Amino acid sequence: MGFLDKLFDRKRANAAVKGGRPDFSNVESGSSTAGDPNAVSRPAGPRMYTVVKGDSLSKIAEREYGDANRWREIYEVNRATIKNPNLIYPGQKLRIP
Amino acid sequence: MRMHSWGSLAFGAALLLMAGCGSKAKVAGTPTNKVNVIELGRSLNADRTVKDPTDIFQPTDTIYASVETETLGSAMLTARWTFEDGQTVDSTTQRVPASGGVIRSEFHVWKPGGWPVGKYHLQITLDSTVSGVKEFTVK
Repeated sequence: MGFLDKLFDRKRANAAVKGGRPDFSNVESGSSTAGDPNAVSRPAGPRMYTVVKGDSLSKIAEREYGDANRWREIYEVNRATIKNPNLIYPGQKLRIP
Repeated sequence: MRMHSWGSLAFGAALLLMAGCGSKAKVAGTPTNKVNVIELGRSLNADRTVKDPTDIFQPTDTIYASVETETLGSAMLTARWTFEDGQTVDSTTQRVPASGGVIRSEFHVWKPGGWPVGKYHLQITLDSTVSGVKEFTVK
Protein backbone atom coordinates (compact mmCIF):
# COMPACT_ATOMS: atom_id res chain seq x y z
CA MET A 1 0.00 0.00 0.00
CA GLY A 2 1.45 3.36 -1.03
CA PHE A 3 1.92 6.43 1.10
CA LEU A 4 -1.03 8.28 -0.49
CA ASP A 5 -3.29 5.26 0.00
CA LYS A 6 -2.35 5.07 3.68
CA LEU A 7 -2.90 8.80 4.07
CA PHE A 8 -6.31 8.49 2.44
CA ASP A 9 -7.27 5.56 4.70
CA ARG A 10 -6.25 7.50 7.80
CA LYS A 11 -8.23 10.59 6.76
CA ARG A 12 -11.26 8.48 5.96
CA ALA A 13 -11.04 6.61 9.26
CA ASN A 14 -10.64 9.75 11.29
CA ALA A 15 -13.60 11.30 9.51
CA ALA A 16 -15.73 8.84 11.48
CA VAL A 17 -14.65 10.55 14.70
CA LYS A 18 -17.19 13.22 15.50
CA GLY A 19 -16.99 15.42 18.53
CA GLY A 20 -14.00 13.46 19.79
CA ARG A 21 -16.02 10.26 20.08
CA PRO A 22 -15.79 7.68 17.30
CA ASP A 23 -18.95 6.25 15.78
CA PHE A 24 -19.00 2.44 15.71
CA SER A 25 -22.66 2.08 14.79
CA ASN A 26 -21.86 0.71 11.33
CA VAL A 27 -19.43 -1.99 12.45
CA GLU A 28 -20.11 -5.35 10.83
CA SER A 29 -19.19 -8.57 12.53
CA GLY A 30 -19.44 -12.33 12.30
CA SER A 31 -18.22 -15.56 13.76
CA SER A 32 -18.02 -19.28 13.13
CA THR A 33 -16.98 -22.42 14.91
CA ALA A 34 -15.38 -25.56 13.56
CA GLY A 35 -17.54 -28.65 13.37
CA ASP A 36 -20.90 -27.00 13.73
CA PRO A 37 -22.05 -25.17 10.60
CA ASN A 38 -25.50 -24.73 12.13
CA ALA A 39 -23.96 -22.76 14.99
CA VAL A 40 -22.45 -20.18 12.67
CA SER A 41 -23.84 -16.77 13.38
CA ARG A 42 -23.78 -14.75 10.22
CA PRO A 43 -22.53 -11.19 10.22
CA ALA A 44 -24.93 -8.34 9.73
CA GLY A 45 -23.24 -7.43 6.47
CA PRO A 46 -20.45 -8.40 4.13
CA ARG A 47 -16.98 -9.24 5.33
CA MET A 48 -13.70 -9.81 3.58
CA TYR A 49 -12.03 -13.14 2.98
CA THR A 50 -8.52 -13.63 1.62
CA VAL A 51 -8.21 -16.53 -0.81
CA VAL A 52 -5.67 -19.19 0.13
CA LYS A 53 -4.00 -21.82 -2.03
CA GLY A 54 -6.43 -24.60 -2.90
CA ASP A 55 -9.53 -22.43 -2.51
CA SER A 56 -12.37 -22.37 -4.97
CA LEU A 57 -15.63 -20.47 -4.74
CA SER A 58 -17.49 -23.67 -3.92
CA LYS A 59 -15.00 -24.55 -1.16
CA ILE A 60 -15.37 -21.11 0.35
CA ALA A 61 -19.16 -21.40 0.13
CA GLU A 62 -19.01 -24.81 1.81
CA ARG A 63 -16.90 -23.40 4.62
CA GLU A 64 -18.83 -20.18 5.03
CA TYR A 65 -22.38 -21.42 4.52
CA GLY A 66 -22.11 -25.18 4.84
CA ASP A 67 -23.36 -25.42 1.23
CA ALA A 68 -20.97 -25.51 -1.73
CA ASN A 69 -23.82 -24.74 -4.12
CA ARG A 70 -24.01 -21.20 -2.77
CA TRP A 71 -20.75 -20.23 -4.51
CA ARG A 72 -22.70 -18.05 -6.94
CA GLU A 73 -23.70 -15.67 -4.13
CA ILE A 74 -20.03 -14.98 -3.50
CA TYR A 75 -19.37 -14.68 -7.21
CA GLU A 76 -22.18 -12.19 -7.74
CA VAL A 77 -20.93 -9.68 -5.18
CA ASN A 78 -17.35 -10.00 -6.44
CA ARG A 79 -17.97 -9.75 -10.17
CA ALA A 80 -15.80 -6.65 -10.34
CA THR A 81 -12.73 -8.65 -9.31
CA ILE A 82 -13.59 -12.17 -10.49
CA LYS A 83 -13.52 -12.46 -14.26
CA ASN A 84 -13.85 -16.23 -14.32
CA PRO A 85 -15.54 -17.97 -11.36
CA ASN A 86 -13.27 -20.96 -11.88
CA LEU A 87 -10.18 -18.82 -11.39
CA ILE A 88 -9.47 -17.17 -8.07
CA TYR A 89 -6.00 -16.50 -6.76
CA PRO A 90 -4.24 -16.78 -3.38
CA GLY A 91 -4.16 -13.37 -1.77
CA GLN A 92 -7.24 -12.19 -3.63
CA LYS A 93 -9.70 -10.49 -1.31
CA LEU A 94 -13.34 -11.46 -1.68
CA ARG A 95 -16.40 -10.00 -0.12
CA ILE A 96 -18.51 -12.65 1.60
CA PRO A 97 -22.16 -11.56 1.57
CA MET B 1 4.90 -42.31 74.72
CA ARG B 2 5.81 -44.75 71.98
CA MET B 3 2.14 -45.70 71.56
CA HIS B 4 1.24 -42.04 71.30
CA SER B 5 3.70 -41.55 68.41
CA TRP B 6 2.32 -44.47 66.44
CA GLY B 7 -1.17 -43.20 67.05
CA SER B 8 -0.23 -39.77 65.75
CA LEU B 9 1.34 -41.30 62.67
CA ALA B 10 -1.75 -43.38 61.94
CA PHE B 11 -3.98 -40.36 62.42
CA GLY B 12 -1.79 -38.30 60.07
CA ALA B 13 -1.83 -41.05 57.45
CA ALA B 14 -5.60 -41.25 57.65
CA LEU B 15 -5.85 -37.49 57.19
CA LEU B 16 -3.57 -37.62 54.14
CA LEU B 17 -5.63 -40.45 52.67
CA MET B 18 -8.82 -38.52 53.18
CA ALA B 19 -7.30 -35.41 51.67
CA GLY B 20 -6.18 -37.42 48.66
CA CYS B 21 -9.63 -38.89 48.10
CA GLY B 22 -11.18 -35.50 48.53
CA SER B 23 -9.00 -33.84 45.91
CA LYS B 24 -9.66 -36.58 43.38
CA ALA B 25 -13.39 -36.19 43.78
CA LYS B 26 -13.05 -32.47 43.40
CA VAL B 27 -11.09 -32.75 40.14
CA ALA B 28 -13.60 -35.20 38.68
CA GLY B 29 -16.44 -32.82 39.36
CA THR B 30 -14.73 -29.61 38.23
CA PRO B 31 -15.73 -28.23 34.82
CA THR B 32 -12.75 -27.99 32.50
CA ASN B 33 -14.14 -25.56 29.94
CA LYS B 34 -11.31 -23.20 29.10
CA VAL B 35 -9.79 -20.98 26.44
CA ASN B 36 -6.38 -22.20 25.31
CA VAL B 37 -5.40 -19.66 22.67
CA ILE B 38 -6.49 -16.23 21.42
CA GLU B 39 -4.85 -14.92 18.25
CA LEU B 40 -5.41 -11.76 16.24
CA GLY B 41 -4.72 -11.24 12.57
CA ARG B 42 -5.88 -9.96 9.19
CA SER B 43 -6.84 -13.31 7.68
CA LEU B 44 -7.51 -16.92 8.59
CA ASN B 45 -6.42 -20.30 7.42
CA ALA B 46 -9.06 -22.87 6.49
CA ASP B 47 -8.86 -24.36 9.99
CA ARG B 48 -9.67 -20.94 11.53
CA THR B 49 -6.15 -20.39 12.86
CA VAL B 50 -4.70 -16.95 12.15
CA LYS B 51 -2.58 -16.78 9.06
CA ASP B 52 -0.66 -13.62 9.92
CA PRO B 53 -0.71 -12.95 13.69
CA THR B 54 -0.38 -9.29 14.57
CA ASP B 55 -1.61 -6.72 17.06
CA ILE B 56 -1.20 -3.76 14.72
CA PHE B 57 -3.81 -3.09 12.06
CA GLN B 58 -4.63 -0.55 9.39
CA PRO B 59 -7.96 1.30 9.28
CA THR B 60 -9.23 -0.73 6.32
CA ASP B 61 -8.42 -4.14 7.79
CA THR B 62 -10.93 -6.80 8.73
CA ILE B 63 -9.77 -7.87 12.19
CA TYR B 64 -9.97 -11.57 12.99
CA ALA B 65 -9.75 -13.23 16.40
CA SER B 66 -9.15 -16.96 16.44
CA VAL B 67 -10.03 -18.67 19.71
CA GLU B 68 -9.18 -22.22 20.69
CA THR B 69 -11.45 -23.63 23.37
CA GLU B 70 -11.40 -26.90 25.27
CA THR B 71 -14.80 -27.90 26.57
CA LEU B 72 -16.68 -30.91 27.84
CA GLY B 73 -19.72 -30.01 25.77
CA SER B 74 -21.65 -27.04 24.51
CA ALA B 75 -20.54 -23.63 25.72
CA MET B 76 -21.16 -20.00 24.89
CA LEU B 77 -18.18 -18.04 23.64
CA THR B 78 -18.39 -14.25 23.47
CA ALA B 79 -16.03 -11.72 21.91
CA ARG B 80 -16.46 -8.17 23.12
CA TRP B 81 -14.49 -5.52 21.26
CA THR B 82 -14.03 -2.10 22.85
CA PHE B 83 -12.27 1.13 21.89
CA GLU B 84 -9.75 2.91 24.11
CA ASP B 85 -12.46 5.23 25.46
CA GLY B 86 -14.43 2.23 26.74
CA GLN B 87 -17.02 2.40 23.99
CA THR B 88 -18.25 -1.00 22.83
CA VAL B 89 -17.36 -1.61 19.21
CA ASP B 90 -19.10 -4.97 18.88
CA SER B 91 -20.14 -7.98 20.91
CA THR B 92 -20.78 -11.36 19.29
CA THR B 93 -21.64 -14.68 20.91
CA GLN B 94 -20.92 -18.01 19.29
CA ARG B 95 -22.07 -21.42 20.49
CA VAL B 96 -19.33 -24.03 20.85
CA PRO B 97 -20.84 -27.32 19.63
CA ALA B 98 -22.00 -30.00 22.05
CA SER B 99 -19.32 -32.39 20.80
CA GLY B 100 -16.87 -30.37 22.89
CA GLY B 101 -13.14 -31.11 22.85
CA VAL B 102 -10.56 -28.74 21.40
CA ILE B 103 -12.32 -26.48 18.92
CA ARG B 104 -11.36 -23.38 16.95
CA SER B 105 -13.78 -20.53 16.63
CA GLU B 106 -13.31 -17.22 14.90
CA PHE B 107 -14.74 -13.75 15.32
CA HIS B 108 -14.22 -10.89 12.94
CA VAL B 109 -15.12 -7.23 12.76
CA TRP B 110 -15.02 -4.80 9.88
CA LYS B 111 -15.88 -1.15 9.70
CA PRO B 112 -16.99 0.41 6.42
CA GLY B 113 -15.15 3.71 6.10
CA GLY B 114 -12.27 2.48 8.23
CA TRP B 115 -11.37 2.04 11.89
CA PRO B 116 -10.55 5.13 13.93
CA VAL B 117 -6.90 5.03 14.89
CA GLY B 118 -6.21 4.16 18.51
CA LYS B 119 -6.00 1.29 20.94
CA TYR B 120 -8.61 -1.44 21.12
CA HIS B 121 -9.39 -4.21 23.57
CA LEU B 122 -10.81 -7.67 22.94
CA GLN B 123 -12.32 -9.63 25.81
CA ILE B 124 -13.16 -13.32 25.37
CA THR B 125 -15.76 -14.78 27.69
CA LEU B 126 -16.55 -18.49 27.97
CA ASP B 127 -19.82 -19.28 29.73
CA SER B 128 -19.91 -15.86 31.41
CA THR B 129 -16.33 -16.19 32.70
CA VAL B 130 -13.72 -13.81 31.32
CA SER B 131 -11.18 -16.19 29.83
CA GLY B 132 -8.73 -13.93 28.07
CA VAL B 133 -8.03 -10.45 26.76
CA LYS B 134 -6.02 -9.03 23.87
CA GLU B 135 -4.98 -5.47 23.11
CA PHE B 136 -4.37 -4.19 19.60
CA THR B 137 -3.72 -0.94 17.82
CA VAL B 138 -5.07 0.61 14.66
CA LYS B 139 -2.70 3.12 13.08
